[in-house]
Amino acid sequence: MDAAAPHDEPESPPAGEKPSLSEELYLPEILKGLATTFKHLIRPEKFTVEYPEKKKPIPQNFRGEHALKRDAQGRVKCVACFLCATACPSECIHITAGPTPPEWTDREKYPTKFEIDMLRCIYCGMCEEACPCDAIELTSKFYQVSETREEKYFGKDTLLRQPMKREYPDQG
Amino acid sequence: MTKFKVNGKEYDAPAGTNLLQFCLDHQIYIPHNCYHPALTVAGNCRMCMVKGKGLDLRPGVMTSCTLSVREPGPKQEMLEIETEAPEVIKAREGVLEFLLINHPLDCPVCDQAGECYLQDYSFTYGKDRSRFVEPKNIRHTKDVGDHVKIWGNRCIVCTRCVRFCEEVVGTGELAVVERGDRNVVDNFPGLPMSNLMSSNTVDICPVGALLDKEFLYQARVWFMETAESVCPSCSVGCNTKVDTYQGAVKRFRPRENQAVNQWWMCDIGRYNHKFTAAPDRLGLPKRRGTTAAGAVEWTRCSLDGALGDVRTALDRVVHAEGGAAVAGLASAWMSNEELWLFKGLMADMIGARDLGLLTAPDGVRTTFKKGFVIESDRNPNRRGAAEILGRAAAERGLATVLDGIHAGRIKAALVIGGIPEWAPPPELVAALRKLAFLAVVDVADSPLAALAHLVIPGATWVEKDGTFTNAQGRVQRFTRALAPPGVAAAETELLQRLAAASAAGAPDATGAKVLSAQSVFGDLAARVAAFAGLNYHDIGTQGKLLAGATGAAAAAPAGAAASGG
Repeated sequence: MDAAAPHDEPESPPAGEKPSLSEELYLPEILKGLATTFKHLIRPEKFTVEYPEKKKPIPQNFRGEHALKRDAQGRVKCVACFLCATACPSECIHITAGPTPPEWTDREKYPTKFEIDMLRCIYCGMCEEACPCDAIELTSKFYQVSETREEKYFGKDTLLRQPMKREYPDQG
Repeated sequence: MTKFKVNGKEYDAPAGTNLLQFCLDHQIYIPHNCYHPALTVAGNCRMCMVKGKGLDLRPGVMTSCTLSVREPGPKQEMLEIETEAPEVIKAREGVLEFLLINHPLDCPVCDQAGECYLQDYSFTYGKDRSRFVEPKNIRHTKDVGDHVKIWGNRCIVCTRCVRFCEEVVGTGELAVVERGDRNVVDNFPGLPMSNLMSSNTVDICPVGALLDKEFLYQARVWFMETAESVCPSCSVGCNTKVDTYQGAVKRFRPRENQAVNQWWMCDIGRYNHKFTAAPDRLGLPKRRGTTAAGAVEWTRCSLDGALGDVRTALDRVVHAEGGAAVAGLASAWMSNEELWLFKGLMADMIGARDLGLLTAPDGVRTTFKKGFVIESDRNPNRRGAAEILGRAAAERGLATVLDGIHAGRIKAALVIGGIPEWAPPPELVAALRKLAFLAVVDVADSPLAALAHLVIPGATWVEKDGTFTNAQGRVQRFTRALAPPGVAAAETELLQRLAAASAAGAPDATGAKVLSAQSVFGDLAARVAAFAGLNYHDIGTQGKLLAGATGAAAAAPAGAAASGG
């Protein structure tokens, strides 16, 4: 037993105190345990999920693959401020900024390239927290399958196609 | 010397010393926006408030940039200021609140964020919220010059740029237009800011109002790495900072050196970095060959193989025809160390008799109002080359080499170019074509490299360490900011490996110990009289004059500054 043993273990009787006869026999305790075993044998209560046939619901705050959001006109919401790349502890966000097309009158800067190296990402959600425009989100997408490394290098198009965690009123 | 007190501590300074500058020089920080040591005092940002006492000052807070050290008159007390008094802190908070009334909170998309005075001061001295609920004023966003764009909304009307154009450049294209809270900087109609120092306004702008169009959105400043360097675009040798991001040069900024460039650099030098990332940069050595059809065919080869071949070919010519049959041409874009190694290799080891100097063509000499100069000599190290190769070789060497080639005396040459976007003069091209063997070290696939039998990739000055000697005779250090492309290497390394390659041509250069620029400079200082007494470490960030140099070219800025200021 090391020092880090679970603290809810029953305390050993204080030194000098003698255990009673029933405790010394162990028999009543063994019978109690067997009773529990037989109870579950007769009326089984399932604690496991038959994965992958059955799936547990994914919580709302699950941090899965990233998505880039769109604004009401369907343009990328991101303004290429690099705050997500600055906050990112694994340095997996690579942005190239550029001036917006002239018809975007409300802003001047947008990401011409927005890439996330999902193999480096640790899914901490700092990018989501740092974003001043609510433009990046970690979705509840749980299944992340790819056959090559290149596929895990998400570009702007992939990120914009990701399913959203919830519906947003301003989504185009 | 006059005595005065700052924060209770007594100091001494000559009468007339600007108090704000004195405090900044003595590690007492006073926030300021409009004050710049190169410009006249405007006192309009109201950020450098201090509490003053003594002399004939009224009680209360006042701007420290407009205060100067004075001797107290009869019945007057000694000048005394406090920089962190409660009144001062409150005044700063108020000033910042006013400055932020119309300033947009667009730091995330503003290029200045990270090096913005207003951002830093708001963080350090400002309130955490604004009481201003009215809509903000909208001001113009437009080009004010060839390289500069103004975001009027962000302007705090400190007039640094207006004073700069008026006092330092002398062209005065900028002015403050409109009144009251609509105040904004603009250029005069039909007079865009197209002077050759215009981009310095971007550096001195304390906020993100004036931004460099070429650097716009290129990188956030906190991601960039900075190396101290020297501008090679003319023989002034402005001290610079090289900012790089993801292995590419993003911008140059001037670095203060009162003896050379004061606080400034010209636009020619500032934007002279595109060739460092040009698609025609050489990353591998290549060898000329001929196809069956007779056309020129280049084959890539290893650096060791190329260096060994160069040494073998040169040695073979020397063996057959003597040292006079080999010539060496170096460029005035090479560092002092490289020129010294070049001379050592060509003259002492291979035995070449004729060395010459390649130079970029002269430009126009431009002088500005406050004495900043762009020299006509567009080479960083012509002075150093003259000292190291000898004045005769630097001035007449090229002509001698060309004559030698035409006369058929010179059969082989090693040419080190490295001058960016340079078109070699036609007489040089014609002569080099005649050579039986020509090896060229160059940074790009230049017209010079096209003449060679063997091309070896070199490094630009941002990719290596070394020193240049400017027109004043000031030896200045530049440091490596990037790795050279491919197997390209600093010429100091290439030349040492060429020297180590055995005369028999076995390419055993790899194992040779390559000395750093610092060690080579030590050897140079010990052997060349002009460099005597200099030491790479002591050159530091501000440079050191050659023995016997008076820094004559420096007299112009200093003198003009005194009369103009």
